[in-house]
Amino acid sequence: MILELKQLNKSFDKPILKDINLDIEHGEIVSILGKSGSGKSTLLNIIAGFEKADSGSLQINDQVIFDKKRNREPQDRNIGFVFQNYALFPHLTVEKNILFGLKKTKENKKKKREVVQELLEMVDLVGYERRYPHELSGGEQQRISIARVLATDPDLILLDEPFSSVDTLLKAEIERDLLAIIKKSNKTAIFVTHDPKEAMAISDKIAFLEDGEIMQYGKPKDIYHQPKSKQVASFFGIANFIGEKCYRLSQIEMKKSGGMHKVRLEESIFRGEYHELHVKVIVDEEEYPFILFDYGDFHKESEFYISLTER
Amino acid sequence: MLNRWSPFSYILTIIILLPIVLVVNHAFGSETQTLIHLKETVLWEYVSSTLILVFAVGFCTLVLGVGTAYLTTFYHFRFINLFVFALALPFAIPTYIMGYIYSDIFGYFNHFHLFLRSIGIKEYFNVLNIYSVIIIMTLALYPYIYLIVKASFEKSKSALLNPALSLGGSRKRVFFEIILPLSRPAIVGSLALVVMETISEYGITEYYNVKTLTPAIFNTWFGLHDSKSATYLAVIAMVMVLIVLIVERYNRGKASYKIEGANGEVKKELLKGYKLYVSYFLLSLPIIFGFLIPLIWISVYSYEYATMLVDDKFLTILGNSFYSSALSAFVIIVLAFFVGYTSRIYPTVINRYIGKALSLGFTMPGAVIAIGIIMLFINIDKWLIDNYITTKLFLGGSFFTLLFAYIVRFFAIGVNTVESGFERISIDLNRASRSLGFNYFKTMLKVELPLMRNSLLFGFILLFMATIKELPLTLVLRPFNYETLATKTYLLANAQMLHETAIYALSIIVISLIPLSIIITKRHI
Repeated sequence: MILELKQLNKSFDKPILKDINLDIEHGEIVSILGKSGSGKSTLLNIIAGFEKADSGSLQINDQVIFDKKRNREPQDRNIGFVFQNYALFPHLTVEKNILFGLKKTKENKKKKREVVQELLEMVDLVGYERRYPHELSGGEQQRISIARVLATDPDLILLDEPFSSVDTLLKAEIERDLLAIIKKSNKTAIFVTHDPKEAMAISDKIAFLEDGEIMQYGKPKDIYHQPKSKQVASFFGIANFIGEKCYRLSQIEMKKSGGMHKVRLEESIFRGEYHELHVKVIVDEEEYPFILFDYGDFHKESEFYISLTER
Repeated sequence: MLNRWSPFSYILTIIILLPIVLVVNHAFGSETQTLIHLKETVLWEYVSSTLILVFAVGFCTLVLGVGTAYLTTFYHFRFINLFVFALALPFAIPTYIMGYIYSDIFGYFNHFHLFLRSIGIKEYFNVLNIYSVIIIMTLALYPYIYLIVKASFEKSKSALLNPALSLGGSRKRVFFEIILPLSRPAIVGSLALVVMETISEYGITEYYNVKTLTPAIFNTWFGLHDSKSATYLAVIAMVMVLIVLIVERYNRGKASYKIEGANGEVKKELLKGYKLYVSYFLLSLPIIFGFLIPLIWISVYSYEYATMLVDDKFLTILGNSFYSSALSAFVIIVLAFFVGYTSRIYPTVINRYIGKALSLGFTMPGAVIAIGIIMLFINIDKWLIDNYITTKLFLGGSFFTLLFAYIVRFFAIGVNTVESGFERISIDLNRASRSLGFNYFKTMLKVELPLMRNSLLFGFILLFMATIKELPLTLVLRPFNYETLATKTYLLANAQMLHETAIYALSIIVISLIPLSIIITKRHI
């Protein structure tokens, strides 16, 4: 177990985090997912040591770094932090930024040079040594800030909304690059994000946080298909309910005739590739509101049928 | 929150506020004979002439400051950039020096009256009165309002003038209904500075024999040796300042006056015809009387007396001024940097207000601080002597006293520049450094210090300028026989050797002009 959080609590004027328990295995990439104000950034800051929890404990590599008696300073936790705005030191070159955390180790200059080269290769920015942060694009700055963190060989890397200031068009590419770098380095990483699609794409596990509580913790597919509550279900995508049972779009087949349930169309919205249909599904004379994506011409019908597959 | 950094700030705050507390504490208690006498006789005169001066100077600087800011912001004419720059220049001439110069020009045997007699007018106009003081202080202090209000006008102009005009308002209406109300905090804030300077002014009020509270405090303390009455007067002056501060605070209220961004290039109205000439005339007046005439006077007499006065003694005094100003500016900026860094890394409620508390000395009249510090150090010396730690005065009359006085008086300048410098550096840089393995202290040295270099240098220059001009504290607290440019100017003027002051005044003005020019051009006002 690389990271173990037990019963963490934190409040300012009102409770921000309530009894947070979280275990993370070595090499895992975990997302802390939540809306703004859910407490996810506070949780990340507490793990890093920038903020102090009111109670609970925190262990890294089976060593207690925070509990009632102890509170290790950030500099003594060996945790790397990649900031939302990268926080590169504007007065230092790329090379000096990367070397910043390496300074205290007493390795010789040549060795340090090699480390910088290795890291620049890893983040694919060889030849950028003498540049200053303001001469780099956002994506490049981010990769340098990861290289800077990797230089100190941390036990754990924390990333605060790493894609929030990235252009939507470049997001997928940068996501992939970042993931590749972290996988290559064989490190454990925690992402904070508000975007469920991003979380599902990059993480081995997702901790879904709402109002300071972890509502569900598990693999992306498990959370997506077996959400513990309607809230969780709706947050991860279109969720249609019959009673307590959640049906994702992939479980619904639309048919002109001969389906399991009759459907009445109420509203159709043109979305380009598809029509978003707001319908009522009639099951045992009860009506249930569903949202369906129509890639064909169901939007022209006033009534049709659906079949549901169970998981 | 308990940490290793905050106690330093707390202790510093207590030490810096101690003189003010001592003054208040000393003022209350049994009434002395002189205090009763004071109340029956001159107290009302002190208070009323202070109030008259405050209202008159406040009103005149307001008209002049806002007027010049308005003309140079919303209109275009030839040489406008020159006017924008020159209108700030009177700032470089300390009020007391301007006072000495005009008293000389209008002296019985001098320029003005010689001219009158040459055209047959034999009357003598004595200028040593409150009206002259009002005019001179207006000329010396209006740049506060001009600079601050103009900056505010420029901001609201680029953000809101075009949108407001596009809604169909006339320029006049937009100015009076939008831009002027939005600039209210700037106007009231800069006016508060003028009022505080007016209450605090010593050199000119004393020389022109205007009995305001500040000279009265000094005279009561040093002339009548009545500490009770002096502190009593000091408390009255403090109350006046506090009222100003409260009004300023209250005025700002909860409304948001934050304006950001720019909406399109704003076309300035071109001044033509008689309006142009009237504007030239009005804008030239403060520049001519507030800067050019004093500068010419100083240059002429500096030249005349240069060979006589530029000697070892002059160089010693120049050296003293440089040394004491540079050292205190350095100490203040270092202390302010520590305090600012502490509240940056531990933004507790107390730490956020500590900067404000430490700035209180700047609002207090110099006279209050002077007698507060004297009382503090007398008590410490007395304790030291009583306990046989020393046999003579240890702190009283030492250079440390003067240094401490500058710290109390000017800490606000340090705190302000440091805080606005820190605001521009993301706290994430600090966190990044710490998560990369450095503690707070090393992070401060490796990250914040290099990034703050320009802010610190700017603060140092401002402090250097403020201390080199400072008169009352230096005069009262300097070590025996230790002269600075300001005190020498004062002493020569009071010995009726006005022309001999020129070379010292010139030094002060040249030293002040350099940073002033940097500020005006760098801030693009």
